[in-house]
Amino acid sequence: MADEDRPRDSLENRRAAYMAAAQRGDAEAYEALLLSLLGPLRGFVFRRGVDEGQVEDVVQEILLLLHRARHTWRPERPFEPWLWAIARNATTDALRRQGRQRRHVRDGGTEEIERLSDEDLTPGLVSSAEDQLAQRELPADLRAALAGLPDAQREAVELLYVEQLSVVEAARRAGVSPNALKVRAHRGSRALRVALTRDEEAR
Amino acid sequence: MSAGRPTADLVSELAGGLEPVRPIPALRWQMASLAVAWFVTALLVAAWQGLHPQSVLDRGVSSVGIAIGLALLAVSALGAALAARIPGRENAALLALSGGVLSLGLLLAVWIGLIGTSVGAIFHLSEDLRCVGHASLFSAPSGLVAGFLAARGVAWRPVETGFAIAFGAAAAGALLTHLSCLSHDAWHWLFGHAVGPLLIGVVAGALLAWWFQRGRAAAATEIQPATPPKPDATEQG
Repeated sequence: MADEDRPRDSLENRRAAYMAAAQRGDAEAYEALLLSLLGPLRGFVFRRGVDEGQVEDVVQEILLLLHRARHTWRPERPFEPWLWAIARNATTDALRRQGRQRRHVRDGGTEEIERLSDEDLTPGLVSSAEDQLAQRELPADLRAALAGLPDAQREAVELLYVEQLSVVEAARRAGVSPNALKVRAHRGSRALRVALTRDEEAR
Repeated sequence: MSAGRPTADLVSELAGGLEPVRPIPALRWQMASLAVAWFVTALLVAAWQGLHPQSVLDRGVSSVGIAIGLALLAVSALGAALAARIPGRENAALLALSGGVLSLGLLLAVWIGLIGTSVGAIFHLSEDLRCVGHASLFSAPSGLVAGFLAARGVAWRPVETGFAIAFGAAAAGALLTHLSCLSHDAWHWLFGHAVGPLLIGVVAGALLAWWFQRGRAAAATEIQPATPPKPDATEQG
């Protein structure tokens, strides 16, 4: 048992020694320490439920926080609890942001669908745009209007409103940034509204 | 947040700009500094108004309960505030917080115990306010030392830290007031030495929380990405 613990102890001791050296201004030791932490930190952040696309950002946040807080570790205290407390805090913050972002997108998405329902889709044509989008039972007009959208905008609208993914997930699926996806979805929904109004007037 | 910067570049940047730092004092030394600040204040109060610890004991259970409650609240709230700013000391902060809850429970028990009693049937608002003012004054040294020490910790939990310091310092100051005041009115002890100063602590806590929040925001912008953000992938379609 003691033998099994030895490599871990040794690793912890080495990290603690690097950190103590870093506090004295040893840049090489600091760089070695941070590089050695990248893998464990990525694993930690991912296991805590941060979106895969955000893991690297959160790891960088942890590194920055660790850097700013490096004076709060005392060499006579264990290094690992100090490190993981920082990692846990940064990850919790990231998860809160992630949750807020998802809620925001869901609320925004519902609002958009409600607007489509109220302003653009007549009650006779579509009784509940939200339900139909969610169930993928798209009326012919809506399907046609969707088909008329540029590929990028159609994909964004489908990912957000039909598949009801979060912005982050949808952005990852589309291979663009969350902001880009939101812009595409906004333009797509606006174009949909115009197309549906035009069809309605034509009838 | 990373602005597309590879993590290895960030590591190089952090290591490249590394400067030596002096570790913060151990938690027990931080608490010892606070104790020194409190004792110095106590000496000044003793010289100015006199301290009457025996009187606190002689005045009965309520008086002793308030004194113990305030002392426990001061130690636990200030300890929690300082421990919460040190990564990895969450357990110490939680332990201290549990002491804070216990002390508030004790003060509440004193309050409940006084309901229906005729002790101090007449309120003397001016005396109450004077003691609240003294308590606020006496809490300043402990609050300043605690604020200085907490500001050296990690810039997180600004709201909790601000309120814990304010409550702890208010209790520390209120304890000195309780030790120096010769009133025999239990309701006066409760409002002038406990409730009033702690309410002032709420206001001071809000100010401190705001101050720590500013410190957190400043710390967050201390290190900016070295490379400009990648152009957004927004297409124009």
